Amino acid sequence: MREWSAIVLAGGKGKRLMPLTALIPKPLVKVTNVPMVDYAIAHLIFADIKHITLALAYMGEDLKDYIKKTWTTDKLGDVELEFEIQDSKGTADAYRLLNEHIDSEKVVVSMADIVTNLPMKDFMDFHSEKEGLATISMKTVESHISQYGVVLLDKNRKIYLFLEKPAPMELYLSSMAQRTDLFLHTNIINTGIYCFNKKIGDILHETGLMDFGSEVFPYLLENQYDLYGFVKNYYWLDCGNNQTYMWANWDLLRHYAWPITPNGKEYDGIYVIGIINSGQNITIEKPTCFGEFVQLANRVKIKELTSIGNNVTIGEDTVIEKSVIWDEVKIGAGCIITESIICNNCEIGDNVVLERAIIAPNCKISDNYQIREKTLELGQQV
Amino acid sequence: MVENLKDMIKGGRIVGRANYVFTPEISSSIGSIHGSLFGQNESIVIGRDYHNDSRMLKRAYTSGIMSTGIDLLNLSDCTFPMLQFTIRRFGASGGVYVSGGHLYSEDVGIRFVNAGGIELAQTEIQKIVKSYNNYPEKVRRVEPNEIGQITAIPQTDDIYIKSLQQFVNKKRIKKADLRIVVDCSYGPTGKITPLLLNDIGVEVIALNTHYRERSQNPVPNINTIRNTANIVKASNSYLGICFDVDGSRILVIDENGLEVNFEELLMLFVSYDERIQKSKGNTIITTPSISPIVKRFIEDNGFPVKQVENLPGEISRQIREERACFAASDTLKFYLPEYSPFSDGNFILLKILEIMTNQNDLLGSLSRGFPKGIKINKSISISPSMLDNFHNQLIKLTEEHGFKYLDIINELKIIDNDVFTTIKVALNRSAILLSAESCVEDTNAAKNMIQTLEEIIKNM
Repeated sequence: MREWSAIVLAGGKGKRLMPLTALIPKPLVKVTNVPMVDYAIAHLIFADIKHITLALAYMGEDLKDYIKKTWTTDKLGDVELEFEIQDSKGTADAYRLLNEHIDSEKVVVSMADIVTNLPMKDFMDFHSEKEGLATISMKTVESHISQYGVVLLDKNRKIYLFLEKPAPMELYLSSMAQRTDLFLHTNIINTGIYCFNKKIGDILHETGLMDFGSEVFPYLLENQYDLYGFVKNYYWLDCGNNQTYMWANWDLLRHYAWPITPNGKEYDGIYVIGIINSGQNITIEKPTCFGEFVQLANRVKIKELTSIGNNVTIGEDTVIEKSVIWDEVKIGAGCIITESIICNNCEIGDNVVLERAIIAPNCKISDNYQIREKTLELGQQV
Repeated sequence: MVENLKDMIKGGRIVGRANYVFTPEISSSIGSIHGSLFGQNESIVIGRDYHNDSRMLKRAYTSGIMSTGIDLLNLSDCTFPMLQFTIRRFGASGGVYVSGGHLYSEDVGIRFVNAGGIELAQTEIQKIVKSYNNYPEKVRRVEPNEIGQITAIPQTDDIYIKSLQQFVNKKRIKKADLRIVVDCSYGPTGKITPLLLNDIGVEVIALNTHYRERSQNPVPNINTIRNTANIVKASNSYLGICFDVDGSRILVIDENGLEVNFEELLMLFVSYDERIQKSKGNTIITTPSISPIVKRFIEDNGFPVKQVENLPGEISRQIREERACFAASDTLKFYLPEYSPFSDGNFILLKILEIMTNQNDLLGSLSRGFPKGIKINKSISISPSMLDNFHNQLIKLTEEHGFKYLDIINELKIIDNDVFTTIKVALNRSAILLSAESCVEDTNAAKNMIQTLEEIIKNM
């Protein structure tokens, strides 16, 4: 039996990421020209895991086709990559349905909709060293508990308590009654990557619990199982909404998630996959990234933190800054695009101004139109 | 009664002299409006400084917000950073702090904070202003049995103190056997800082920790700063600290009784703070009016710089957006995001102590070698009798002449056509020190500014 294998949960619909996920599943949403599912698979392969199973659900066939096409034998080497399209009712349910595929003593459960440079090897070694039933990857964040919940840890990082969304007064009183060797952390979050011992499969079958965060971990604590928190300061971002999705693109360009970098060859902070077909007097600032077959007309300015996909045409004098442009997009002349997302197959007319706008796939925007802090829905024409 | 709340906005906050402009009726209305912006039964944290005008206005605000079905966690007197900490620590939906300011000595201001402990953006403040003008159109009044609860949380000081200590190497600080002088400026930090420092083994000479009614001459002022500097020298202390009344910033005096200015402190953090050093490549945020030399120093140390206007909460919001590793505004606020996205004087102090102990050196020598901008300096002797209220008089004159300025505790920074000029009272003699730097390479502009200000000061 192997020591380690991995499961990637890739079944999410990505409702909060709409309209970006109107036509594709969330794991196929690209961050700096790489679908998020690819980051997840590469991360596990880098940690020397030889058997990876993907739990697919929403648009599972599309995702399966993509992965088969991308992760060919020459890329995988001796790594076994399996898929299972399932109708799971939660993260733990997805694991339970895959239990028979597990051929290892220990299992990493990862997600396909986050961007992280979690030191996976260290995380797995920590789990082996502590010999607990489960280890949760955690991270200190500059945030507040109303978003993420609270955890009580001791000096050995053993977890004693989770509070999902505690009332402020409850937390005040918990803090008052706290033992001196326990620490109530309100800025440590569960980043959704776990290590389990194989025994977890039996527990899931016996209990029928559906979700790791809200059901399984509280159950394990109540029943005196050893649960540990791996707390480190690494990069992690849940691309859960349009704002954090945009930040993830910026962060990868800024090398905040090093060694994870944008797709393409780097030329001093500018990443290029194919050839940029450019006119005269164009300006490209760093950091930026470009897909294949990008055409930039005269005097186009691509400013910092911009990510441009495949088959994108940009008209004369257009200025794009801190934006994410997907594939098959045509942008007219004289446009000003700032902090916006333009999805696949959109046509933007001349002299259009987009500021903090989200443009869903297949949209058309006519000349001289201005959109500020607004979202265009799938196929909308304005 | 003020018809339009817009008339009370100063520096992005609602501010006014109690009973003259800022009445309990207005405060109560603001409470009702603010409460209606939250969902019913949400909790917020409220706090204030020591003064009775703040207390009166907070009570009026409290009645207003309770009427909308919001529960309150009441800190009573506390520092502003402690209120921000409490909101985050207990997961409240927001908070409100009522206090007098350093800048407007007779005014009381109300600050609104979101669930992340960050002051509300101007767009949010505008919502309150707009709603006040249509009062009580958008106010939610609840049934008598649904009126919000008010609960005291008296031991939050201990939780706050313990939490602050977790972010520094307290064993190492304790081992260094330090002695420091802390002037708490008659503010609520008087009940926090001495305990915090004592707990980590630092010997503290604490000054002005008690309550004093608001006076015409705000603290810290030149007299309290000089007093602190003298005690540092007389007691052979390693450091002197003067807290701003709300506890969000500190003025630092080295072991020689000399002030360590903003630029030196900024470069000290960039050079020696271990966490910042580990985050090379991450952005550092500053205000646009920092010296170009300092900006270059930061960039040369491997950090991209983003410059952000010093509006309430703006730097904190940018820290989030940029995932910055450090931020500093030249109003002496330093933001260390590993602890919080806001400036906390107590945490800044702990980090300075940590740097001193890690480097095994004193602040004076650590900050000595930093580059200095090309500045035009001028010293003007004045009568000692003028010094007491000089800072306030200078603010009035600066406003009369229409200059844009920043208040830096003992110092004013005037920003005019790319020239940054600081004016302050000398620590060791009866003189005013002017220092001007141009952010373009033109010393004439700086010279002209010095001349203009010299004339204004001489006419005072």
